[in-house]
Amino acid sequence: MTPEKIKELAKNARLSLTDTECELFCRDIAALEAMCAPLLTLSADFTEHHRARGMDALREDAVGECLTTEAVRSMAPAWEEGYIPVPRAVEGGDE
Amino acid sequence: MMQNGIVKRTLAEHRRALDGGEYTSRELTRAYLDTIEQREPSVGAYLTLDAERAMQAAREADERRALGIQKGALDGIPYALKDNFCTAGLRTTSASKMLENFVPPYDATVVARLREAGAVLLGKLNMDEFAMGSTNENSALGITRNPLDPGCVTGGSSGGSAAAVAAYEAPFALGSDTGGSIRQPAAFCGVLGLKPTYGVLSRYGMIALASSLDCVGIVTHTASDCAAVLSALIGKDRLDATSRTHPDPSFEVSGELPHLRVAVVRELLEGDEVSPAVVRSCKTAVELLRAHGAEIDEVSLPSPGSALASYCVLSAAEAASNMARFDGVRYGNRKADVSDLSEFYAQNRSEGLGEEVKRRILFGSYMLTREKRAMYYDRARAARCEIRERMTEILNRYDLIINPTTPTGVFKRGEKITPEKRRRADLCAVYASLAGFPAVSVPFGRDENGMPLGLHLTAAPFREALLLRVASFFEEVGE
Repeated sequence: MTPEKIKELAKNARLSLTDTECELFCRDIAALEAMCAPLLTLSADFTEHHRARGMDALREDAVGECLTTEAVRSMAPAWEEGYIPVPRAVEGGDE
Repeated sequence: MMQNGIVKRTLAEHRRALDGGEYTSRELTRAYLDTIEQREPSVGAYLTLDAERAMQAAREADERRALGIQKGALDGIPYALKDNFCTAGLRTTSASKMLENFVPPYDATVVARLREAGAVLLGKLNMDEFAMGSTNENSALGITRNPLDPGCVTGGSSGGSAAAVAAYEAPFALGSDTGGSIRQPAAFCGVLGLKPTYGVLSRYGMIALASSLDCVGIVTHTASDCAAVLSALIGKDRLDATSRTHPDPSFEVSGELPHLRVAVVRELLEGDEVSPAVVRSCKTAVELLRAHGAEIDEVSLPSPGSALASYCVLSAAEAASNMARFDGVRYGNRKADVSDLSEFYAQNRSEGLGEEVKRRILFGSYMLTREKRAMYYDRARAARCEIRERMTEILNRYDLIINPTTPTGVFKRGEKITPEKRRRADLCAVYASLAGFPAVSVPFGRDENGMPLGLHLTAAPFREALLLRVASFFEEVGE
């Protein structure tokens, strides 16, 4: 783990970190990864075995009916030219 | 003014006293509010008190009772809530600066069900921020001390729930349990904590940590109290796709202890991580069961190291995903003077979220990168399947699995503990979480410093009644 990697993860996770935080998390995440080392002793066959047996699901993933456009429209607070208007997230900027 | 001794009564005793006119719901509620006032300066379990509305709800319960109407077994009885359950019109913070001023427009289903049952909400309880932690020291909004020793932590993340019940500031409290967050603080505070079967209690309106593991949990003084609360809360909820109908919704805890076949987990009673007092206490409990006719065998589970690693990876990965919604756009901490959207998100989140939350988001995101996913995440899922399969096999042959709730006694407040060591506090509790099975921590034994320890019982799905019956046995035989 490197500070650069932490910065990249932080950017993807929409966090901005101070240098002190970067250093701290660099150390901590390396330690947590080391703690997860027992998983590395499990073979790819082991993973595949459980996937193939369908053990990796709690209940049936059944296809249901989709919402119709009308149903979505009826739930929207407003509807303009085929779109649902939402408040601006950031004030200002380009209109 | 009522004597504060009444706050030490059980729910059944409160119900009888209310029905018999010994005291009113208003007097009972006032007694708990007085206790809160006296004890909060040293305990700090509550983040928000709702005294005015509590007294109003108590008045309404008294009026119903006077007319011979009762909403249910909890009508007029006060309780408190971990602050990650949404409450309409009452702030819900998850002990985070991100949600410090968030007032939800709706109630969580469990809150609505308790309201419907006539229970009186006293207020919202402290916790580790977004339920991430095992000491309650990760709260951004306050410090909660263990009522039995203010120099010790409460455990977490439902530390406020355990502390409030232990300090008699509420007769029962709800919390959440992802990897032991009800059971571990219950053990450290000397109260009972139940994590029901995954899906038995609706999570609608409970702020999510790791959705495949999160359960609503109950903290009480007795198994009988827990059974009464569980009865009021169960029932499928169309607002939570994971909620399930309980096939055996009768939670009678009295009567003869049935003949039991009990499995003792070998791996959780050996190794340097488990303290001698913890081992001694668990072995005493096992011998008590044997003396009452139980058949006892040692069993083996997949290694604690891989169970903990599996929990650590899966919970962080799911947490990273669940936490993405907290960006300050519709609610929560919002930085107004930023014009770039990416910067807006980053600043809101970085200011609003605490260190442990950031750590888990980063670790979870790391585990989901292309590089690490197959190495850790997929293996963690397979390890979870293995644990569920092995526990199912064991619980087809045995009624119960017994082990300590925690590998050690309670930590001192402010103790320097690495994030890795903190995770190890979950060692004994994560098996039931990963399997989705019900588990209870019942107070039993003492650590080297005289602080309480918990005994952890796990049963097959939907066997909460058996867990509570055996927990009741340990209450009866004492320590």
